[in-house]
Amino acid sequence: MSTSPEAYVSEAAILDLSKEFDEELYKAFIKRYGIDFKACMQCATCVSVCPLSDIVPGMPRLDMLLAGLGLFNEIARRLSPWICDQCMECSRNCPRRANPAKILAALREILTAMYDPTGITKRVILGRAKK
Amino acid sequence: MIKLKNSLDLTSTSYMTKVGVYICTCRAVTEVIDVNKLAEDVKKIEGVELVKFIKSCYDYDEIIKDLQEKRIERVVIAGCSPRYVLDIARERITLAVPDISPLWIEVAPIREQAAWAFRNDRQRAQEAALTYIKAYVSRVKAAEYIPREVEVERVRRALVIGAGIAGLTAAVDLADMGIEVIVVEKRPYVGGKVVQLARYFPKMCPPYCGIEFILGRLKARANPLIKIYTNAEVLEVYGSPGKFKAKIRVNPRYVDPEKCLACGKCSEVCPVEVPNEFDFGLSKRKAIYLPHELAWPYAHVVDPENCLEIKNPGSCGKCIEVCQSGAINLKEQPREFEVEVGAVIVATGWEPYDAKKLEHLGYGKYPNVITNVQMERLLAPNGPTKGEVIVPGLGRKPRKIVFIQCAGQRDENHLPYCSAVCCAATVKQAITIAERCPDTQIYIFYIDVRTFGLYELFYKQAGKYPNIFFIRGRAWKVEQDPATGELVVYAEDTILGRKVSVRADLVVLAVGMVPSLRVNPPSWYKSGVGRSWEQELLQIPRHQYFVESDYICFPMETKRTGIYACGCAMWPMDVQTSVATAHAAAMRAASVILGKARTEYSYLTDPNQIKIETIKCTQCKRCTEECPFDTYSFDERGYPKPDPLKCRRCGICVGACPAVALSLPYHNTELIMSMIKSIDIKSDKPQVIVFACVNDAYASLDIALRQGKTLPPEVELVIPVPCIGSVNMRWVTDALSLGFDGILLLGCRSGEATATQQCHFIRGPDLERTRIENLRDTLQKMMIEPERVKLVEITLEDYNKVVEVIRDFVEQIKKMGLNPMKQFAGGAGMEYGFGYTF
Repeated sequence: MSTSPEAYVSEAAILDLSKEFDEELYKAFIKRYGIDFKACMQCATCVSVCPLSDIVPGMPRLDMLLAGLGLFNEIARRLSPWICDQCMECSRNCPRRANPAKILAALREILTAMYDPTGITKRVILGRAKK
Repeated sequence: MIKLKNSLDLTSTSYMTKVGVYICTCRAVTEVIDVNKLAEDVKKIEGVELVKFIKSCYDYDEIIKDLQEKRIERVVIAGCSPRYVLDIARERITLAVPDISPLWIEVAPIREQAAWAFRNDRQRAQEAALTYIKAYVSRVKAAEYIPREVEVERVRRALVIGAGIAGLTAAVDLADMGIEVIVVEKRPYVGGKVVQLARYFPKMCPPYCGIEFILGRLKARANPLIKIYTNAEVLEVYGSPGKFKAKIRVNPRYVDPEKCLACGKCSEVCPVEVPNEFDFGLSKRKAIYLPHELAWPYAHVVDPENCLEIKNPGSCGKCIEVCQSGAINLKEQPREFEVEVGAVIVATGWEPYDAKKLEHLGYGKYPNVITNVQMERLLAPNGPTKGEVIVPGLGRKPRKIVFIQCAGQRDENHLPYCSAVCCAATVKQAITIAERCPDTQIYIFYIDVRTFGLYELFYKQAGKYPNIFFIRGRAWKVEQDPATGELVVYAEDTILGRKVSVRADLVVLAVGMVPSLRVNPPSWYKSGVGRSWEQELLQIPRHQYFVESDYICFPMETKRTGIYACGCAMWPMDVQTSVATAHAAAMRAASVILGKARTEYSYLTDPNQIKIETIKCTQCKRCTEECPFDTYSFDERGYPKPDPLKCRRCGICVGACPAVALSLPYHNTELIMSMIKSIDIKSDKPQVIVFACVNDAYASLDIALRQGKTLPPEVELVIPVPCIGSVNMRWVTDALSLGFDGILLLGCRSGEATATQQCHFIRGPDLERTRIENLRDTLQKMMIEPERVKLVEITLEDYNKVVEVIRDFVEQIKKMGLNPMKQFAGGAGMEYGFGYTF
């Protein structure tokens, strides 16, 4: 993977976790997919076993982290939810049973909702969550 | 071969003594050594009365019979290593024949050091067996009489400094064993830091419950064995273990706890308001106050620094007017008394690190930056907010909380160690808040989450709360946003690799534990116990001001025999470990006081007592400098005066004394030199003597020889010593001037840090290395290469290496050639007075 010069320039000076935290989506996410993924302790077993992690660095560990912090805009800039082929290696090896493969699939759903300009998907997800 | 005249025998009466040599005929010996021939040779040794064969080294019937019938006076058992046999032999034989000194029984290791060491060279093995028997016959002849054990007066009373959970636990244990206990507490109540906590793990118990339970067990007011002094301090501790003297001052409480009903009327009328130290300054208290809801003693106390009436008599006195029971006496005076105690337990506990030193984290600058101990008070039901989390300065519930871990810990500028409990404490607090306020977001900045042991489950549990977020990064700045008034915490998220910021309305700094002994060094600590306490524990903060101990071999014991430490005075620990160490310390103290144990630990009954020949002493004070255990004081003439009760029999002073004026009965110049001088000097072959620390190197060598390794034939004698620091340089120079070609010293691993230093006696190898360094000049003057003396650090697990080390040294000596002193017919120097003299 070639690294562009831009990669060396900082993206935003400081990432404001409080501002970026998408509370509405985060709560919906937890309600829909469970809280177990938050047990992730960033040990990176999933990255070691993921056959795709040499294409997308930090996959799926970083996605777990960002989802746990509710930073869905950051996830939207990543490829990992889209290229994950659900081989389930990460979930099988996770020492805390945080089930990363499930979260990547879930993030695909969330991202679809975020991309949908009509807002219908989002409403479906949030709506179902409200039940 | 040149026969060395043994001058020792001519000057002492020991040439009269009759020695019996008992050669073990186990297969390991007889396979290599011709024992019949050996017996013939041994008979020719001066002083040997009879030689007999025994079936094993544990077969003492015949020896006891011979001793009882006065056929012999001293015993040498030639067989296994003394490490296996010596203690049993001495114990059984002296039990049967009580008028025999234990030192009159020796074990010559002909199995390890002769049969196994030279298993491929029968002739050399035969020779070595004879050498060893000769050496130990000489040694046993030079040994003096000591009784089996000595009686020591012990006071059946213990002093516990500090009445926190550790101190109280130790007190309960000691009282259970029937020992009188005096507990001295500086604060006006017992319970220490634990009563200030909201909850403590692992069961999330309320602290009041724990303290109530312990006080119930103590039956503190009714138990005649226990005396608790609150508002008191220890001024001085001096004397010897078993019989310390402690000076205690009880400061006035100004309220009689027997009369006070704790009705609180006095506090209502008191006009003075000061910050409450029980709540770490989060609330106010009056100058007369009840320390907390469940204070023991349950009585008010007057703070003399803030009371108007005490500062300026006649100006107030309102509390005296309202008190129904007349308990208040503002004219009470402090009283001092002295008490004799057998042992001391230091349970002085900890203080939180001063967060004002963490300027970058905004403590003291913003009221809503607090420490973890203050958070603990906010969560406590008896706290300033009755258990509700209310942000100080804002007066409302927090919406976003940031915990900053390692606020000062693991930082060379503040506390270089990990405080052990802060991670678990923060996780505990976060879970409590997450449960009470599910809408509050909690961010935890950490370097590593060190929730050791089962606390890992708490950590996992905390992660599963939707409102708890862990961010791996060390927070480096806390600032206030001028627009919104919120606090902003900056850090680098090392997992994301990006700088991040979090907004918060409450920031909690997880400050570390500092030993109370560092924060307010008490007077007894600075001067009372001994010169070296101050020097070693305060000026050389090797253990970061925690009490220094040999954690495994002499657990809970400080460097002063009879003084034990427990709880957070030892190292940062949680409540359960604190209680466990208190039990351990009480156990150790009880063994000193009750004196039942007859083990390595009971130095008090050990008859091996250091002796000083003042006629040789030059008052150079080396012994007082080098003794690791503060054994020495000075007598009225300025000579060092050892205290046998503090002494741990390491012999470092014996090794230190340049005038060889000091001796231990089981390790002294006469014993060692008689062994060395019993060996024949060979004019054509190099000869090497090895001194080995009995605990590490000697044992390691035993293992190596058992495994089939062999020694080079040049090794003449391996002498076990209690510590390598106990080898006197005079013995080394004398051995060299006698004509021995090399002296190898095998000590254990040394070093400044706890992790590398292994010596039981703290710095034996370090001292020995310095002495060898200083010896270089002397050796050069004697025209001897300084390289002929070498110290190597060997630990017990180095048995794969130890023989190689000896082989290398022998090779080095061979390259150097023979010792030039050999030509003086072995010991010419000695006869003419430079070198060792009796």
